[in-house]
Amino acid sequence: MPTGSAGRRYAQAVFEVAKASNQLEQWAKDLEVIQQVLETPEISQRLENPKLTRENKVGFLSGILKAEVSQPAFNLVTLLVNRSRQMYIGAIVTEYKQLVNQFKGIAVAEVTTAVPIDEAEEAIIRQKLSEITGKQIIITKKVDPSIIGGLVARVGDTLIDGSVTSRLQTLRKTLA
Amino acid sequence: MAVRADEISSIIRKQLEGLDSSIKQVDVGTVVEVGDGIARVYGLAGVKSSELVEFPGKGPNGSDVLGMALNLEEDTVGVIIMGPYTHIEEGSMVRSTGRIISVPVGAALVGRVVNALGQPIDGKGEIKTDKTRFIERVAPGVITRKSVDTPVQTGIKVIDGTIPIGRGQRELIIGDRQTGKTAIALDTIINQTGGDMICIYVAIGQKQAQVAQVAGALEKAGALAHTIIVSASASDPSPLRYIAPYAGCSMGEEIMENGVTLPDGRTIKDAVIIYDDLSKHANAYREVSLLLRRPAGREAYPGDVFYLHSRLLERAARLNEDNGGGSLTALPIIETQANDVSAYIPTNVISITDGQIFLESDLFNAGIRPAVNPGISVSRVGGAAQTASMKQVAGGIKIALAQYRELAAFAQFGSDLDAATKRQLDRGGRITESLKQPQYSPIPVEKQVVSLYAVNNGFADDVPINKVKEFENGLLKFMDDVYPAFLADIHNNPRKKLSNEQIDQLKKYIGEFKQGFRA
Repeated sequence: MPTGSAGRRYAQAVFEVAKASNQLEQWAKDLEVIQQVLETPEISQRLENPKLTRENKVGFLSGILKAEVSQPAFNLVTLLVNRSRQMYIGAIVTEYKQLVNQFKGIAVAEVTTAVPIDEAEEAIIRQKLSEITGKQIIITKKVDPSIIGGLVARVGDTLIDGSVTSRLQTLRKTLA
Repeated sequence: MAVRADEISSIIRKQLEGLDSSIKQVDVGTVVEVGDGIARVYGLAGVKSSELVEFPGKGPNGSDVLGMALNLEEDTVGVIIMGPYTHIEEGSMVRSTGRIISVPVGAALVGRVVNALGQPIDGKGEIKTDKTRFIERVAPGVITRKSVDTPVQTGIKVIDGTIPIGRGQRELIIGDRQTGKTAIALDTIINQTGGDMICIYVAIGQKQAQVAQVAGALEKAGALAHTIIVSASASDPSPLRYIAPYAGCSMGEEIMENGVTLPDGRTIKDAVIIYDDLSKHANAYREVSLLLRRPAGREAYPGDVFYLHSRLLERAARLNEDNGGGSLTALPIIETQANDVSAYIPTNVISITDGQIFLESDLFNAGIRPAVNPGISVSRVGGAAQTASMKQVAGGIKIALAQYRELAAFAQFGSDLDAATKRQLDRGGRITESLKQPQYSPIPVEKQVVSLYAVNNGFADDVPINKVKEFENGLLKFMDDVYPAFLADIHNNPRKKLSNEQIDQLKKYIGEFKQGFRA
């Protein structure tokens, strides 16, 4: 779903910093911790309170987070709170993960089959999809009997439709 | 029926074996927002501008619903839905098709009533054609064109005489509501019966009852056989009303560029297309643009409403011999509010077309029908689009009418005028009376020549004004009955002026008729 440009811009900046300092994994963990903290109801309410000063909010957060995350990550928190952008943390984390996946050449594929598949079949599918898309594939599985047979794989914006249902539909259109 | 079961199954087996069962990759997206004929789709990263996309599921009448991707934004794509959209849900998957929107074209369409996508709506069965064309196309360039030199005979005296239309011209028909704009278009279509032009009538945003009435009137006059009716009625979604004129234009371009062979064997390369009307077309485009959140400009129209009409009308052309010599004439219709021709859309279209026919409700109410104001109506092609004989006789009419209008105010005084003024007034009054014409009765050009010659050269001066119509009808009937060869001679020689012998003959015939008329 669209995340909006604000989240994307912050995520881009974070990603570039992480890449430059070779800390992609560390940053990912830190971001998740930050997200967890900022989205806790009591804390987010406190941050939205207009009567408290920025120094007050930053000081309050530093008490919680300073020990948990790296200094650059805490700088991000300070920046967000000072600009009242803390609600975008969810979008930032999502976009950051996407950027990392893109950088590493990993793509998430949603594979739908009519019957559950076992490990061996999953490995074959993963390999084939890797060949087609040129990226490393992580598979999320779904079972949907209405496709009758075959499989449907959705990787990002591309759909690979090998289901029996759609082939029957093509057949119907051709014979009509 | 002696069809063998094994023959059938072997045919089916062959088809199955030849079936292309390769798995394809398509671009997809997810509907984020849908309503009012517009869908916002997240994804569709590789979709191109104006590409067709497919929505899942079937519309109410069982067909697939297609959309056109118009707004390509950073995250989402704005898609206009060409058909019913109530079954599309948020979260539905949208596939791109890789195709650009096109319509069927060719001879199979002639005589049919279709919707904006080329699907038949007249209940006369499927349209079987193997040719399709994109509805959006760049207009023919300068080198491929030729100047306009052949007339489109509308059959309406005031138009063929004073504001003639040529093949390849764009002539705007503009006026308030109920002034006879569609009537001019219909008379033009009816006059092409037995001629060498195909007519295309594009009904945009009209009542379905009215389109049915038009189809009925054309069929009654025997004109439906050489007409294509494209209808995007008021209840059709605005995207269909937006593309209808372009679809009709593509059908006309096929005729212009490749010619069309009718069932009776004739190949026709000339077409006339009537857009009724472009005001409703601009409204439909405004609706689509505002729903797509494009910025609103003057009168809330989007910024490119000029381009909307200019690219449509530029496709009407006359091609030179190297490119086939065909032509597409466009007669757009615009409805004004209270005769205001300085409003946004009318001024746009006036600056695009090669002339306009102004219809005024004052004239209509005064009984002058067609309610054309010859003073401010213009045809920028003019005499080049008239037959030689017509140019000869119609020369003085425009001036006579102009002088008449100037003096019309004095007509109230009547007897206080000098002889010359009175003569001008009388002549102008008779010409105006003779130019009146009932609906659905277009007059062939040879009869127009005879009638205009008679009135313009004083042969009707001694006939009371209220008997001028009777005089004219009688004269034409007389010529038909007694001297049909004379008329046929004019008809068959469009490039020949009337010789002095012919003019003398005509004078004699008119004199002969007048004797009988007096009695």
